[in-house]
Amino acid sequence: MSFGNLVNYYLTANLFGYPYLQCQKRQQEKKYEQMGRNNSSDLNPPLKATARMAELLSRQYLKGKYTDGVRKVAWHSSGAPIEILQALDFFLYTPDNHAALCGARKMGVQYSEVAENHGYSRDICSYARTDFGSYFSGDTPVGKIPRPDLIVVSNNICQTILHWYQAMGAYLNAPVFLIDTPFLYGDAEEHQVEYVKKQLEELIPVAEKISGKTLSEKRLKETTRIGKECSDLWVEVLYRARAKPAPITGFDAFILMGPIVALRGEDSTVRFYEQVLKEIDERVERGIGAVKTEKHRILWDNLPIWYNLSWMSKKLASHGIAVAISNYTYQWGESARFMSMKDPLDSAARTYLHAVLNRSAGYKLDQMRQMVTDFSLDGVLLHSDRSCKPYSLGQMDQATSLLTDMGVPSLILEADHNDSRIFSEEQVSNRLQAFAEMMTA
Amino acid sequence: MTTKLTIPTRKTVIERVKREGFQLGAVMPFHYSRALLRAFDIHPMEIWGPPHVEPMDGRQHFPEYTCQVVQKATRFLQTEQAHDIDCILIPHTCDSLQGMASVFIDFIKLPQPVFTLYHPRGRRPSDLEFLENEFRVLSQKIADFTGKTLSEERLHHEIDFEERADRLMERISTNRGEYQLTDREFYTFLRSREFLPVQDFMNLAEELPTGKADLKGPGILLSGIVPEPMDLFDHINEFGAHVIADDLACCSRRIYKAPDETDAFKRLAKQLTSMPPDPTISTPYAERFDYLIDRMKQSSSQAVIVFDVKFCEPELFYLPMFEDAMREAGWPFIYIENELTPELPEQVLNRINSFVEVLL
Ligand code: SF4
Ligand code: SF4
Repeated sequence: MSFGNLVNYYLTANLFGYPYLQCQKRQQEKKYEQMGRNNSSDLNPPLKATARMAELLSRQYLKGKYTDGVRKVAWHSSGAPIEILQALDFFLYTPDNHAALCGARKMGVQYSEVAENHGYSRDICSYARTDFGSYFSGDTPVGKIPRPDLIVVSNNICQTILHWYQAMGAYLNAPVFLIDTPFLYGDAEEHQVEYVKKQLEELIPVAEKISGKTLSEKRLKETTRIGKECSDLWVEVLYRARAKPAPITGFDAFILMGPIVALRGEDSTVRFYEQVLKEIDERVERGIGAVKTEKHRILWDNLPIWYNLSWMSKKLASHGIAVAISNYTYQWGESARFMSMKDPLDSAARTYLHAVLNRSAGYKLDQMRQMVTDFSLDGVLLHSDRSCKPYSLGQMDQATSLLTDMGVPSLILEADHNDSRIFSEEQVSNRLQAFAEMMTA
Repeated sequence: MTTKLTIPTRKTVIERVKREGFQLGAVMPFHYSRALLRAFDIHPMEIWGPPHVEPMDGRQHFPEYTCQVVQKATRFLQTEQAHDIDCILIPHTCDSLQGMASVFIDFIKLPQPVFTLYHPRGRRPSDLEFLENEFRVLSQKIADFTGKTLSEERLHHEIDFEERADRLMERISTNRGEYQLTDREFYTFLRSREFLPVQDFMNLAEELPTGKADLKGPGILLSGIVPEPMDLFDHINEFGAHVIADDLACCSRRIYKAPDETDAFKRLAKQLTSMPPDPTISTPYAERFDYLIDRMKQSSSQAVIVFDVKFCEPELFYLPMFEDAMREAGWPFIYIENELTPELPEQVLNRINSFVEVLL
């Protein structure tokens, strides 16, 4: 272990870095307060907790900068089981989260172009292109990305992610461990659960060897417990939007989901979501909605359009449309009901197998129907995401069923989560306007 | 060179197998067990997105950024031509076929049952055990549908046949130069396995005209999913080159090994995980390129053409490293994308032409 890195990790990241981030957080909170007092927008200011979230994630990225040689680093996909890795004290890094962050900072195209110059097609997932481009250019908005000692990838969100992570493993010469989760066309069958469980068992010695530590059952139960607590809180946060007007929108949730994806199983994440809940409850009590004049409530299906989050939320708000819920954000909470400390591996197998993206188009439709009822929704906006096939195939039939079975109108909006080159604000504006009129009629 | 092969049409095969008491199973690409279906008296007939089919109906269910294999098959399965089909099998090859299976099961709801098969992406003991169980579960579903009980003996017997056909296919495809057939004829023969009963395929293989092939110009390794339209071969020949070896999903990527195993389901699992490296099963990159380098050397190929269906993500992810590996080894490389059009667009032809000219 390098002494220099050790000093940097504890002093720079912990001692000096934190006060700086705290200061940034306070400034941001003040900004939100001012926005609240002096706000002509159709939206109320974001929750103050958003500033705290930025601090949490920045802190993690800051630590990542100095972690080489201090802690073993595991990269993991957003849907991968992380409890074992946490129990072995790996420093965790989520490339999907990084790609989303680059997208939100409008850097997706810049990095995609670098990847495309290296031969990657514009037809592959733009998250993958973003991360490839960031890697090839040696550039990232987070300062420095820690090199992986181990990459754990689960294909419970798509097969694409496997190709992406394996490529990074090849470029970085890092071992890749796959948690293969058979796609569920119906309910999980026992041989599927058994399969995932076996792979988790196989991961343990591999991860132990790399970390140089032995897995403690007690610690695994603990990380499972905290992970479940985080996920349950996250579901509560999302379900608060059943209130009318909705105190937060799907756009707030897209931002607030960072910790549940990347820092699940951390005490700080539990405290963070408790704080979020408290703030939301205050809003509900005072009848404050995220959209000032809420006329229509809708569901957002699929990934966000990261580079246009703010434009999109304002545009929808200008029509009085509140995105009360998004099934995308819900996926990090939904299957946590399977998590149990009694048998962490079996329950992890069930949890990760039942990720919504690993389930059929019909299941997703049932979930949407349930949300339409639970959140009293007037419509559904389906983002047809050009470079995310697993989420987007099935939407045409889902839209038809929503209309014929429930009379719920929907809008299929073609865009891409990170690549803004196919997005036309004018065209989207017109379509949103027509959608709002349809819901009014 | 004249055509010396008489391959029955799909229609003739369907009529015959039906007369013989078989049911017809439509199978999407591409790793599955023909033997398991045959053991239930289901004759497998593969669908690789027929190029002559208009994708319009497919587009009612899938966005335009879905590959044409899925779009056209979706359309085809809803036409009158598909009425003879008794059941459908969709292996889990990629996100697009996963979406297709899901939409068929949940929404399109054809009268025929849709079976699925998940192919594990790893090669660990747990992966093998899973695939074995997956086959058992599939077998039970087919038994419920057909009302037939699977005989292990029959299954072994069918696997034996398939293994023999695989060995034949291996021998023939690695010795392209020993068959007096044009490239188009040669690949029409190899691809006839997509719909012929295994015994017919083997009989046909025995009848192939042997002797030194009349192959002109540089030999090319053809990679990709499916060489549709088949005119591709004529054009390559016309421009002055020939296809000496392939890494096609519909051909050599499906030559499985013959495992030494007495349990029929274990045998199926071991067999179906023994294919050459393949993006759809997420073979580690280095392993795939080492294999392709060997293949290039063994076949004395002088260049690589990758001919892919647009929007095929598994292929696209491997592409940059594939190109680097080939160029580093000194082999010219070209990537061509097509949308399963009945004829190759002019622009594609020009690119192939220029590529071949450089090789001459
Ligand atoms: S294809 Fe979709 S689910 Fe898969 S990594 Fe990309 S955005 Fe995520
Ligand atoms: S062409 Fe590619 S994307 Fe399309 S079905 Fe085949 S493997 Fe999947």
